Amino acid sequence: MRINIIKVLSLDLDDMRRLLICMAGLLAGLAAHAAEPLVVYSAQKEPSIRPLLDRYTAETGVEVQLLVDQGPVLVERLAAEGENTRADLLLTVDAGNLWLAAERGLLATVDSPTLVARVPANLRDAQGRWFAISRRVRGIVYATARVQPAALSTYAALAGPDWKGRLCLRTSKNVYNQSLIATRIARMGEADAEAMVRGWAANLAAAPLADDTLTAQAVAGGECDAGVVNMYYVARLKRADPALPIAMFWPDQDGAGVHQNIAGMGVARHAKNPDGARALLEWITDVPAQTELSRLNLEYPVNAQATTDPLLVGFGTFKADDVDLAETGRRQPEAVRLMDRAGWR
Amino acid sequence: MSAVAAGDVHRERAWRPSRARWLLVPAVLAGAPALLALGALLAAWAEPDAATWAHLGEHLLPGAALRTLLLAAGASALAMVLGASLAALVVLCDFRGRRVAEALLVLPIAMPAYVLAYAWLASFDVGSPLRAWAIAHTGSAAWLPSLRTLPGAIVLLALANYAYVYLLVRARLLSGGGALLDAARSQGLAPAAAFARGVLPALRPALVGGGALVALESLAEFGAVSVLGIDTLSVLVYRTWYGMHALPAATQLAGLLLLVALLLRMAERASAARATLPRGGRAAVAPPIVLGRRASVLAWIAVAVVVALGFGLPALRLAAWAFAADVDLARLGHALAATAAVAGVAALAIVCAGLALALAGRASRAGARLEDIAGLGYAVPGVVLAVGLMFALVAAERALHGAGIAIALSTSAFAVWLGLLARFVRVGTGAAASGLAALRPALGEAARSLGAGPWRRAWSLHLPLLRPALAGGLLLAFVECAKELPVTLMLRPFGLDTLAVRVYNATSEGLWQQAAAPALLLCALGLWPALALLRRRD
Repeated sequence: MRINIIKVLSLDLDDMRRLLICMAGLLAGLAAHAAEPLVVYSAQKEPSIRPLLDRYTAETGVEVQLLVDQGPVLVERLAAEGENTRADLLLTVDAGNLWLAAERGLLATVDSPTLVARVPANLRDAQGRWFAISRRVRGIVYATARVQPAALSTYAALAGPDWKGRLCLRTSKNVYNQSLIATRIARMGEADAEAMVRGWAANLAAAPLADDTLTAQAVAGGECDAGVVNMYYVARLKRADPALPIAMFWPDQDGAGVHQNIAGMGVARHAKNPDGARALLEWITDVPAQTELSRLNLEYPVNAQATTDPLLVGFGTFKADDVDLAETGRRQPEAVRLMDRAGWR
Repeated sequence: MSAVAAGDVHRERAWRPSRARWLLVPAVLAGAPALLALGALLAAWAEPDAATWAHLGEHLLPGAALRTLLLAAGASALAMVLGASLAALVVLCDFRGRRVAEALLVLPIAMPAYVLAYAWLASFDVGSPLRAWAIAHTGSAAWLPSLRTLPGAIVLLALANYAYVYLLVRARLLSGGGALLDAARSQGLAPAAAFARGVLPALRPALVGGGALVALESLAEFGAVSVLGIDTLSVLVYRTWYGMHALPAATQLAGLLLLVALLLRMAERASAARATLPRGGRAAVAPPIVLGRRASVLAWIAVAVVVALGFGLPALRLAAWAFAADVDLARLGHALAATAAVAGVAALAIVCAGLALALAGRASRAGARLEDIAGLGYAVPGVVLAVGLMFALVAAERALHGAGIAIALSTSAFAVWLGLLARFVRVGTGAAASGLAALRPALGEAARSLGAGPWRRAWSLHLPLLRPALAGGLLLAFVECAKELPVTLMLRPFGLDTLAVRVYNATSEGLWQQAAAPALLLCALGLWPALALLRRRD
């Protein structure tokens, strides 16, 4: 008597399909152990990048190990380890730390026509030492109930007397603010930037806040009428509560454009597996990964062929400042000193 | 009635170990990680950075130094008042539910200060629904108090840390406090005066020791004060390194904190030298003061307010966040196990090292210096200590690699344990020292006269007597290590996610809903040793 195993286990076709997929996954997992793992020193936190890297592992069989810490710590570690490092790639959430790593000779030049074709020139190092993998812009969040978009124009306008007691800002200890002011200095000169920062500091409704989420919530809650934040924090809040009475505004559209920063990667100078590192970089700037990254982190892709998350599309188009992103690192100490002088805590 | 006559409270020569020189060997080993890390801190002075210092001096340093001192002094003073009075309440007074109150009061120790700060901020401060409601209904939220001020930060750090004072004072009171109070009252003093004159002097070492711990915690605190926007020296250290790309100047700045910690240590030693030691050590059988109905209600209100502010409300906030998020139980379980392993081994090492250092500290002058210096790591922001240790380990790695040995020294569980030992050995020396202070030479002499050799005396006489103090230190060290972030983050091996790391991964992106479950679990993990501390009746 034959026992029909399919029947006994009451499996239907769908279950069989799932089983096969499982087994395929298992095999891919075994293959992953066969290949040499890639090591990424990452300032991007695990939840924001791991899902994508898991997908890379599933597709290629290459395992990726993450060492997560703050950007400056990772740069110091790379420098201290020298040729003994296990890092194949450095991943940071701002251009400044990539610039710093490149400046200290910790990143290798990658000569890849693929990357050059996929990543716009102003979002990568001219010598090919680092490449953006996603873009974020730091715009103005405003309270839709109290502010007409027509009343908004530029960053500098928020420094004017009509904004007295109506502005919320995140602390100047945050690197996104430091990058914003660093590029401002590069564009407009130190005096102009300082005048703006002094005006901002004078217009604050509350002492600078701990993060962008609190800043956006303070605007929504009526604490202040506008703030300066990265758009993905607002996108996250809107995803959780579409009725939240705040919106993003893109400043300086008649001028340099809204301030833009990146998450980006560079290949470590002493990478043990430079070819593998370059392959991951090329994969991550390809259309599927870029679309997935936009969906995962609510950021803009760097590859123009990729699909931006619909929520962000709803935020509208903008002109972004195409200033050389190396300025964010080069002028960061200058920007910090300026903010200290001007009283932005 | 009194178990101990007031006249019995007098100074007595404390026990000292023999073989002073021999004891320096384990002490040097025990202090080595801290000395290594502190050495790296001092080495930074080799790279002077006049421009950065000039900027700091002109715009930031004076204010930050003043804020730091006020914060440390204020938080430790408030923690001493809270901790000592609450300990006296639950040990010396009898009221309904006293044992429950005694246990509840230790809960806040399990809540990391920066989690406490953020939970409060998100519930009641700028950006919170409460303030939005106030603005919508009263037109303004200015009448609501804000924690984002220096007094607010003092209150918050006192709430987060008073339990250190509470536990130390409570232990001291349990070993004879009731008897002291009885003795003073038998001389006709009212309860308050009897406490002030009869009990308080005997509490001084515990009070000063606990207060110093809180002050050191406040000096090194980064997470909570940066969330609250209070620019202390620790915050300045980060700003100088991360913002101005000036690691040497940042490290030099951290050196200033060492100076403050050294002064504190000297004050502590001076105070300990003047302390009186209650003799006899017989625990009172029952608390001597029985509270009436109204007084009991007042006592419970005091306990409830402190526990609600320091633990209950923030824990509810976390629970609400955790409820709204997807919780991956398998990963949480992994993080829980990792935390227990990291903190468990580190706590053991801390207590052993603490005992070695405290023994040497009692045996010789050199030992005492070593004990003081090794303990300074407690006052330095963890990130500075960690980066110093990372440099040292990476250098060792490179040297070993040159010799043909490839090991990942600087990203290993070993490195994390070393780092935690360097950072928290002060907890171990403190516990061991308080245990050693209670040893009496007469006992050892009696044992010797009965023919017990030095090993026998150490093993079957002194160690059992020290056990309660060491166990207390072990549990405190465990809680500290479980909550710790920068050292663990920087030195951990690939994939070793402790609960604190999980919390950080989410919070640094502003994703508090995802941080809530690991943060709650961290509290729960801290709860177990905290409650064990209470069960121990010394």
